[in-house]
Amino acid sequence: MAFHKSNRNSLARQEERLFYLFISPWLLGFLVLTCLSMAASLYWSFTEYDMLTSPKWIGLENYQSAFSGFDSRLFWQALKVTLIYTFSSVPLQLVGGFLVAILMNQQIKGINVFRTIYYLPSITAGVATAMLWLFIFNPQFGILNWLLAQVGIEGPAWLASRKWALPALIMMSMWGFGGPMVIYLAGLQGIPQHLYEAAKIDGANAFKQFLYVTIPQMTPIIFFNLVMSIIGTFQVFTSAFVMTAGGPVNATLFYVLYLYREAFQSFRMGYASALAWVLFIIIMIFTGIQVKLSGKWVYYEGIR
Amino acid sequence: MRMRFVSVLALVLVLSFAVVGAGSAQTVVRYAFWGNPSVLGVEEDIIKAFEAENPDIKIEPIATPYGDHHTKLLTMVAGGDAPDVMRVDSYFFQDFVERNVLLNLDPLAEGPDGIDVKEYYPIAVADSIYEGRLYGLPWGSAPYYVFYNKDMLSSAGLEFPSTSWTQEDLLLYGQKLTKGSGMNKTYGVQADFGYVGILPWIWNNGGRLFNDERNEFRLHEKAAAEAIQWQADLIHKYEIAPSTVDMQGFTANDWFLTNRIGFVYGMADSALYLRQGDVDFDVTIHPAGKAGQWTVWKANTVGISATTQVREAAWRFLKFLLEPGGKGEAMYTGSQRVPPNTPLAEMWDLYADPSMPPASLNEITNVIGDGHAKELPLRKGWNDIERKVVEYLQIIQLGEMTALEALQMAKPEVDAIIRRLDR
Repeated sequence: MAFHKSNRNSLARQEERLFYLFISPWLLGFLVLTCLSMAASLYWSFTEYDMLTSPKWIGLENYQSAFSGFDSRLFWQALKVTLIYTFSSVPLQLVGGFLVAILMNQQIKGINVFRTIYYLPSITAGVATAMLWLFIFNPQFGILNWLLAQVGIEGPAWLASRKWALPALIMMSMWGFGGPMVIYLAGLQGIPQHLYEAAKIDGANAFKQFLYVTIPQMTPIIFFNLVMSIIGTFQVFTSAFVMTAGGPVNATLFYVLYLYREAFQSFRMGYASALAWVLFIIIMIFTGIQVKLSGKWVYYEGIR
Repeated sequence: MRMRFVSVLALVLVLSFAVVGAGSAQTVVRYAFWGNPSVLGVEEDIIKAFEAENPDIKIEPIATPYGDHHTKLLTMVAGGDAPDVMRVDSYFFQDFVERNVLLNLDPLAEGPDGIDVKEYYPIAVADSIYEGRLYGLPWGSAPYYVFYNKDMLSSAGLEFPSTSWTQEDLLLYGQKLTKGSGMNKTYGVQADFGYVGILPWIWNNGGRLFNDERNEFRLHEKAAAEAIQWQADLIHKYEIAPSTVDMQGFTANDWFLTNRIGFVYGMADSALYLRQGDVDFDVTIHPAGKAGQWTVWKANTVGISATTQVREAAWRFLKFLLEPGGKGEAMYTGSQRVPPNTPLAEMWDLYADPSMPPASLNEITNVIGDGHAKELPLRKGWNDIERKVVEYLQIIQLGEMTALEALQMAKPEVDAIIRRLDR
């Protein structure tokens, strides 16, 4: 017995060593490339720093400037634009992705072709997608306004309009639901068939099976996609950078675009670092709330 | 056997030292510029030609697309890894100089291996000078031109504009060329709301962007606001220029190439772009306003890093690249990458193709250079100020406010930015 115990201990120690050995490349990268950079940016956020001369300590001035000082107008505008984008495009992406995943889960001939077609846009380079949508949104020659004209609607100026530029980018974000869709699809295929069979025996029709089997079984996947989409949309950049440059009149000034401009065009790395930390905290709060709420609606088979 | 082994070993050692020695005899100069990294084009040819003449120097090109170039430069400089020779857009020039990124070139330019700066167009070199000192040599210097579609003017029975034309003439041209409606409307002129493009109109109406010290915003003054309002009127009142809504997704140049707009504005790169189409066009100077006939002359600069360890080699390369009438300039102009920085006829002969429009490019450039050009009122934080001003220019362009209202609103905000930059 004593022999077995010491043998197990040495095995455990060996496993522990192997664990650290295998994880060390990532850990080292994380410590040097991520933690160190984060620590540096935290320090810079309390300084006036133009990247070319030494940082000068100014305490909380950058944060104060963002929330209620010199920069507050653009800061709140950028935050507002980003929040509107997040809370509009995340539900669209989640619901759209889910519904398409259900369609893509049908056992019909050539389904793989459809899956590929629907997934393709999400692996297309952001800039290429943006250029394509520039043509789609063109008020005079774009296909969108042409389609609207077919049903008697005069389409708006889309990206040139202060009112429609942000909704246009939200619509465009639907284009990227291939990512969540693939994850949903994997989740859907992992639902055990016997649950559906049991539900059928209990007299559940297709809708009830969807409501009481599919959705509860999918909640961990929905939760994962929700968290990742919210984090992703808070960091949206390319579409506005390429298509609107944040305009017209800051109507599409996404938070990260604002941060980028301050850092690299205005030489304000200190202020941009403060912006990055504010965004980090906002994302942490949102993620924390989601994790907290997840206990009420996410179903993990292994736990309960 | 042992002797042979030792001899072979000794030979290998000697050879390897020789190889290392030959390698280290070459000085490496890192040269950062904007351009397509996969197609270096004329830059590669110039580097090859330079290396052939200077076998002791190796040029290491660092090419980045324009949009990322200055971000990359900034990161490299901040990381203590500044390229030895770097191209800087004039918009960033003062920011870089004031932060000691660029080397004062006066001792090199005036030294025994110097160059004659006076051979450049004087205005071309202005964007490379800060507080009387030279920090770079001009690259891609050009005035801001007016291009007109000869076919459209001819078919409307209109004469081509002379260099002494006025804004009233432009208005008349615009009114006569504007035809049709909706999707098929043809417009007479482009309304210019670019931050740089708007300057000639402001100057020609007696306005200015900043005060003389460039530490106060002045677009809110009547003369400047009037000039900007006139541009908005071309869209909303006279309806002879397309709005951004009409134009969206396409540039004025694209429209010019499809004969949908008669007059557009741009620099030498626009001329090259327009030349690719089938449209017959020519170039002229901006029309005179009530206070004069000016246009912008903008240049970029190529400078040497203040921290370079290879100053002499970097200067030798920079001189080769941009010396007035030198090989570099000849190769740039011959490839039509950028127009000459000098009025030298042999450079213009290389650049301008008489069989291709615009035929008057050289002539008009000299007219502009001879008393009709102003340099940009560059200052530290140019991009910061531009972004704020453009925000209000867009409001005016959309017709949501009059120029005077919008620019008076902009004034305290822009001045606050300037105060922050200058503190």
